[in-house]
Amino acid sequence: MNAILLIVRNDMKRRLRSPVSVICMFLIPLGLTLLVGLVFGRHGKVELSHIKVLVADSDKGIAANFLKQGMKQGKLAELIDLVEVDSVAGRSLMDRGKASALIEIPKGFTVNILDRKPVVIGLVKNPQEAFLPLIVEEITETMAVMIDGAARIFEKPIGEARGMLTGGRWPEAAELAGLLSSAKPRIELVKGYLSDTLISITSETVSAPDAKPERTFNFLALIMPGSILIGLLFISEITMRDILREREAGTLARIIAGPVRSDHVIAGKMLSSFAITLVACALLIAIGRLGFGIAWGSPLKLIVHVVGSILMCVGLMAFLYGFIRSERVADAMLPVVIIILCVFGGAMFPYEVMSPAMQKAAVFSPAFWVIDGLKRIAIEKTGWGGIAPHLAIVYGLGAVTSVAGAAKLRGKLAGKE
Amino acid sequence: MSGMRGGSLRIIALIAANDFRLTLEARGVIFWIFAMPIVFMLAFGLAFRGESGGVRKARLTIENADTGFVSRALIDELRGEPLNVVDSLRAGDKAVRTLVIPPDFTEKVLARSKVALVLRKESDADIQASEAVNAAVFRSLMQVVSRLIEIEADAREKGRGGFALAGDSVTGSLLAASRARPGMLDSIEVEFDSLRAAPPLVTVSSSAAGKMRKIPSGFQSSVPGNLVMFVLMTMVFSGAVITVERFTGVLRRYAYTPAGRGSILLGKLFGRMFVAFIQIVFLLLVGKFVFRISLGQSPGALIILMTVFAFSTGAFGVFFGSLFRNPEQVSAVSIVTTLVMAALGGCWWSIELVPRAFKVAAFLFPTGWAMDGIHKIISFGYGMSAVALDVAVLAGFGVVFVILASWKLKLAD
Repeated sequence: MNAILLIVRNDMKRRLRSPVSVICMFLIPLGLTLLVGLVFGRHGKVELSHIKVLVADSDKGIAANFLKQGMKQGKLAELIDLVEVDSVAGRSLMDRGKASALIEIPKGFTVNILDRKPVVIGLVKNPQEAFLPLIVEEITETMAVMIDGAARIFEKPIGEARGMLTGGRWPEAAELAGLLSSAKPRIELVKGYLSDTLISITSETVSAPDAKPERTFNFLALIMPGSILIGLLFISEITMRDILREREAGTLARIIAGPVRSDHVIAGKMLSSFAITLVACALLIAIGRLGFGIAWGSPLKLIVHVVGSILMCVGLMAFLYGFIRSERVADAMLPVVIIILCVFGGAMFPYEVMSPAMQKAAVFSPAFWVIDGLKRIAIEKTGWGGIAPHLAIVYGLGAVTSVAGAAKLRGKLAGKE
Repeated sequence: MSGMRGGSLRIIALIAANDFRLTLEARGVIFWIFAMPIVFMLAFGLAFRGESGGVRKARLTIENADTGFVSRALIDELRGEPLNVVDSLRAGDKAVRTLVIPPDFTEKVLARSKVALVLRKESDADIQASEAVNAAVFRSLMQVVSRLIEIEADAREKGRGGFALAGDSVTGSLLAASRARPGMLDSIEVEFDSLRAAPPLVTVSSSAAGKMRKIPSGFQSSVPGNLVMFVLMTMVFSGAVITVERFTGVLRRYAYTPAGRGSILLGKLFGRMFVAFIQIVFLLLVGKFVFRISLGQSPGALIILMTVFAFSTGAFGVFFGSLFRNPEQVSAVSIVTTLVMAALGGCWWSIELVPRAFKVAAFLFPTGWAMDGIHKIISFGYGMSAVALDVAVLAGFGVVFVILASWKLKLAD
């Protein structure tokens, strides 16, 4: 036992003397969480700045004005920055990616609507942008439906007043009064839906039956568990690498030549890797709480889950190092394995945004069970039952890989390989 | 003089060829350079292929407790929207969003009584897709309502029973009219259907700016981002090779050869650049033939842009390698640097979503310029002249880092 503790102490001292690599791995989860936090904020809501929309109005008629004014009303005014341009300038700006979309109102737009001839509003989207042009498209489609509906409902009064609307002059008061009088019954019919909200749409958000609603949602709590796991896997990888490095340098052979057995060395290395990873994890969780305001939930459940997760990380690395012959191979292979586990386990992007097929595949990555367990404890404040499968998998996998990895490494140190 | 120059070039070429050979001999590196980017392109492409991303349509389940024609018309309108409208769920399926139509919907609408539709969504439903559903429900409802108003107005003007305009309000309703005369309800429905059959008067025609005239979707965004990130990795990690070779004494041995520091540095850089060049061509071919993305109209410009990007980031990597003594340290710092540059440069998420300060910050890194150039070629369909500035800035980054690296590089500790 003393020999094991001695190895642990020496390893810890050595890491303290040269901490840069561990610190860098430690910085990965912090950096990732910080980046996401800075970009998307703590609540994960993308605060869209004004969407720059160009409008090239070749019509200048009443229907074109209706469209443009509609986009300047209420919430749309907060969302859209509408800039009037001529068609050539608009195209030129769009071709240089200077706006999210260009709305082209064709010449004769109003007259054609009055004549009940089909009209097409052109929408040129910025191909560099994935989301903002889609929002503009939804709004323009909705405006088109509104103009279409209005033209149909007010067909008769508009037809009677066609000359007034297309005459290129401001209508006389008497003409306007006549138009309003003629349109009044239809206005009254529309008013029922507009101001009296005869048909309303009520939105409801429901949670899954087994999910408890969180009191205050912190988006970073969704991101940081995955980031933490990436850090833990890399830290346990570089700390477990000592076995390979010392074996290649001949240090291990000298240690084993003394009164220390290879079992002691392996146990010592695994324990020191466990201790360093645990310290890093504790610091990450503390920074998550104090720096990012993440409420981690029940401390006891968190400790039990984190200990199992680190056991799994260290066991997995011991197992993998059991098969790796040189540091060069380790350099090439282990980051690949870690990244694949993380990508498919939901560490690089949240499980919640994955496609259904990827969600089904995620459960086969051990990373998923660590991350999902942390989320359940932190976000859903779940009970022991909610994380029982997670604990069973991380502790089970940790135990199996630790035992198998230790056996494989013992064979390696005994010179059987 | 020209003989000396020729000798230096030969040395640079020899070092580059040797470095290229050593890199390709490492099987693990090959895996990182060629296989991992494909895994990432696939994973990111699948994960972020949002429901309204043009590939999968937002799903809307309908719970219709009404038997009248108005609810049927509303559902028909919804089917005309770019949605995946589901009537009944299969076992195990989750209703992400549900439109609940109450039992007396048609009757209440025809009676001009207040009625509420409920749009229920799961808390983890895709926000963007939900917004698309909201807009589609609103549009569909508006189309149904406008036709009903047309029928109501017509009925009132024709003096059908059940309607009257009293002062500022309408009294009566289609329901009252239908009850006043047998068969009226059927004729309202027929009239509604004939209005629905009329083609829309106002439509929207969407196209994309630039020369492509096609809206990009699917893997079109995951492939460029990961291409830039993995070329960045290939090149930044070349700095780690410099540190390793100084650590193991390989660089010191160069000192006994006629190779100067500059030749060694450029040889190392060009060796890795050749690896990156093969990586770029390979990944672009994978993007084109496996992920079926468009490479624009000027693949040559794309390769030039990416090769200059490899030069700038390789020079950065070599500079990095000249700063550290311990290979483990430079590897760790390289990982962190790569992740930060990739994220802020717009490789991970669409730059349009980030606050203005981050949009500006993207251009502080070679990744931001590379992504900008890639979009000009792939998304807009432009050629070399459109990316001249991006190429010039990337080359400028490279030259500055080469100068810094040659100043800092020591062949031995």
